Amino acid sequence: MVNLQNLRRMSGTKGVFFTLDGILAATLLIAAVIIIPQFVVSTTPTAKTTFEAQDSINVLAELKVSEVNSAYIQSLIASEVISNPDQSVLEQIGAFWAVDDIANAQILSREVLGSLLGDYELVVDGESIYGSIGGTQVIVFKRMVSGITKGREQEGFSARAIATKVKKNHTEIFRIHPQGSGNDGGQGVKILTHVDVPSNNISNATLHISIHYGNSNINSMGFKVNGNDLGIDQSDWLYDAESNVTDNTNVAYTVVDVTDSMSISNPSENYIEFELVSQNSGHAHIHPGSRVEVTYESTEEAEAETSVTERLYFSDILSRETGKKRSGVWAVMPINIPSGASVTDATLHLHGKDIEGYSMQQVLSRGKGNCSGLNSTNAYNIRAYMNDNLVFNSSSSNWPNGEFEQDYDLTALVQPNTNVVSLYMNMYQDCFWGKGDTQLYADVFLDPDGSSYVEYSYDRPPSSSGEFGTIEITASERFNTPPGNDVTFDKTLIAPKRAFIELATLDSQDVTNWANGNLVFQTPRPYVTPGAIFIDNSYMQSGTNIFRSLDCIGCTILPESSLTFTTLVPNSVPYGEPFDLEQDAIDDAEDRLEDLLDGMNIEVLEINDETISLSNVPSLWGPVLVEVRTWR
Amino acid sequence: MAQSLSTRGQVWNVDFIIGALLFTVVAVFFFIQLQGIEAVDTDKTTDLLNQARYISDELLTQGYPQNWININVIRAGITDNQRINQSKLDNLHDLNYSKLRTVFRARDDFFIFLEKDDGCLVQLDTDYGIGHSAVNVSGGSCRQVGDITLPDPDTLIPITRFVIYNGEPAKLTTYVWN
Repeated sequence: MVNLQNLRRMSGTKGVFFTLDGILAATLLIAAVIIIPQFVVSTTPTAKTTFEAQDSINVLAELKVSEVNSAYIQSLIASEVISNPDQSVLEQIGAFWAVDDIANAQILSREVLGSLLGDYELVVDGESIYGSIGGTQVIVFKRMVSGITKGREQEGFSARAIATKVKKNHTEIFRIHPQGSGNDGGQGVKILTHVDVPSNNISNATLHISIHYGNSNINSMGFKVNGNDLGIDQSDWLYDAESNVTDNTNVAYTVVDVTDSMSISNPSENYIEFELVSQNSGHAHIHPGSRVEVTYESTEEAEAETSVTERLYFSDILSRETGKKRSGVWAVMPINIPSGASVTDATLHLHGKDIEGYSMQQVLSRGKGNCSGLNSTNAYNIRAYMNDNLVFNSSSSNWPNGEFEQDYDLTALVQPNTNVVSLYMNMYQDCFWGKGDTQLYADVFLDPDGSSYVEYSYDRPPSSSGEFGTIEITASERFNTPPGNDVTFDKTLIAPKRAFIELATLDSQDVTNWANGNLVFQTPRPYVTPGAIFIDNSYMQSGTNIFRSLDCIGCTILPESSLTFTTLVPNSVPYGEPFDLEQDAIDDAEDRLEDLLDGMNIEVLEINDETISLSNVPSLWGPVLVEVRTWR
Repeated sequence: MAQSLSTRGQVWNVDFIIGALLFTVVAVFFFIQLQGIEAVDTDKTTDLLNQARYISDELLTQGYPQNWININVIRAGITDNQRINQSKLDNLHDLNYSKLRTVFRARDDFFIFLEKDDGCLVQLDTDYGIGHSAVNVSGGSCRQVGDITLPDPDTLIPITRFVIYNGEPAKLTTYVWN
C-alpha cells in the first residue's frame, strides 16, 4: 500500500488512480440511493383530467340556474333574460347558444366552472363557445340537451282556435205532413201551419205543395203566406194529373218562391194557409212532399246537446161540412229518434173541437165517402195511433161542446228512427161523418200549451252523437230523378250527422226507404207516410251514400224530392306550428280556422284561442350535444 | 532496486484494482437500487390510484342501501345526481376510520374533504375532513387545502371530483397515501 503522505510529497502524481477517490465516489452514490426515494411523490394527471371533464358536465347538467351564486346571473333572472331559472345550467347555456347569446353562455359557464377548472373548452353542437386548447391531449365528455335548436327561442308557443260563435247560411225544412181533409166544393178544409224561422235574414224561401183532391177546379184552392194570397193558378202547377190510385181524383205538385212573403219583422211567426176543396169524389188533403225550404243566415253558439227536447205542433186543421159533405180531420206527425238515444218522454197533446159523440151505428149511418172499412165495432169518433199501435180510441159522448183535450204518454211506443203519430177525428180512412166543423186545434202564437202537439225528449251519449267540437251545416239537394215509384239517389257526404228524405209525391200510399241497403222506414199504416223520412247517421257513412225510396205501383215519386243533410264541420283547428311569440301562434291558429270555415261559407264571429307554452316539450327541438373538454 | 527511481507515469496495480473494484460494485448497486425504487413506486402508485378512484367513485353514488345508515352501510355513497346529501355526509363522518377502510376496501390511509366554491373546507363537527385521525387541518375560520398536514406520506394520490354542495359547485377530494 502506498503511503498517502509520501504520495502527496511525491511530485508528478497526475493520472494516478487512488483508492480513496473510489471510496469517496462510492459514498456519494450510496448517499444518492438513500436520499432520492425520499423525494419521490407520484401524481396522477391522467385520472385527474378525466374526472374533471366528466364531473364538470354532470354539475352543469344538475345545477339549476337559480342556484348559481352570481349577482350577474341573478340579474339576468330578474330581468327575465333567463325566463326559466329552474332549468339546468347546461340547458340555459344551450338556450343562450340557440339565440346566439354567446357572451352570456360564456359567463354562465365560467360562473359555475371557473372555480373548479383551469383550462377547459365548452362546445355546443360542435361550436366552441368558450375556452381554447390547453394541452396536447384532450378529454371530452358530452351530454345531450333536448328542446333547443340554433336560431329558435327555447320557449315556444303553439295555439289552437275554437269558433265559439259563427255566422252561416243554414237551410231549414219546415214540413207540412199529410193531413186533411176537405170534402166540400165550397169551403173544404183550412189548414194553418206555423213556420218559426230563427232569423230575419232570409235569403230564400220555397214552398212545395203536394195535394190530392177530387175533381174541383184547382184554381179554387187557396194558398197564402202570412195572409198574402200566392195567386197560384192552374198554369203554375208543375204537375196536375188524374190519380193513378184513386178514381175520379187528382194529384198535383208545384213549387213556389215565397221569399218575399216571409215575415222579416216577426220571423218566428210566419204562417202558411191552405184552403183545399173537393167536390163529388175524394177528399182534398196534403200529400208527402209539402214543405217550406228556408235558407237563412244564422249565428250559432257552438255547443253540443246531449239531452234533446222537441215539440212539434200540428197544423190547425178546420174541416167544414156543407150540404152533403161531412167534415173530418186527420193528420200525421213524425217523431224522429236517433239510434242509440234513450227516450225519456214522448207525449201526445191532442186538442180537438167539434168532435161528435155519435154511436158507432150513427157513424155508419152518417158516414159519407168510402165507409166500407167501418162497422159497428170500429166506428170510433176519435182515434190515435203510434206507428201501427193504437194509442186510444173513443166514441164517448161526454165531451162538453164536442171539445176534447187530452195528453197521452207515447214513451213506451217510441222506437229508433222515424215514428209516426196519426190522428183521426170524425173520420177514418175515406169515411167522414162530422157535423158542422171538425177542428184539430192549434194556435202556436197565442195558445202554445193548448195547441195540439207531440213533444219528446231523449238523451244521447256524446260518443255516439259525434258532434262535440263541430258546427252543423244543413243543405238540401233535389233528386232530379225521373218520376217513378222506385227511385234511387246517390250522395257523397262528409261526416254526415243526419239526413231527411223529403219525398215529393203525387200519389203515395206505402213508402219504404233504405239507406245504403238498410231499411230505415216503412209506412206503418196506409196513408201515414210523413213528409220526411229521418235517416240516422248510423245508416250513413263518409263517402257515397245510396238512398232508395219505393212507393206503391201507380204512385209517383217526383224529381222535386230532395235529400236534406246535415254534416258536421270542425269548429276548431288543432295546435299548430311552434312560434317564438305567443301572438304569432294565436294569429296562425285563427288564420287556419278562418281558412277552414271560409270554405264552408261560415263566418267566424267569436274565437276562443288556447295557447300552450312549449318549453316543457323537450322533443320540440334539438337535441344538441354539449361538450366539456379538458386538457393534459 | 535503486531508491532514486522516478515514480512519474507509474501505476500501482493493487490500488487501482481495489479502487476500480469498489467503485464498480457501488455503481452497480446504485443503479440496481435506482431501478428498484422506480418499480416499487410505479406499482404502489397504481395501487394507491386505484384505491383513490374506488373511494371517489363510491362517494359519488347514492350508496347501498339507498338510505344507508351507519349500522347497515354496504356502500358509502353520499351524492344524489352529483349533489352531496348532507345526511349521508354526516353519516359518513360518523363512521369510525376502521369501518371506513372496510367499506372503501382501503389498504392504505386516506382522507376525504370537501372544498367549497370559496376555497374553504366544509366543517363536519370539529373536523374538516373524514379519514385518518392523524391528519391535521389547522387554521382559522376558513381552513383551506393548504392547511392540511398529512402524516409524512411516501406516495400521495389526490383525486378531486366536482359535486354540488348546498346548491354550489364544490370539490370533493380524496387523498390516499402510504
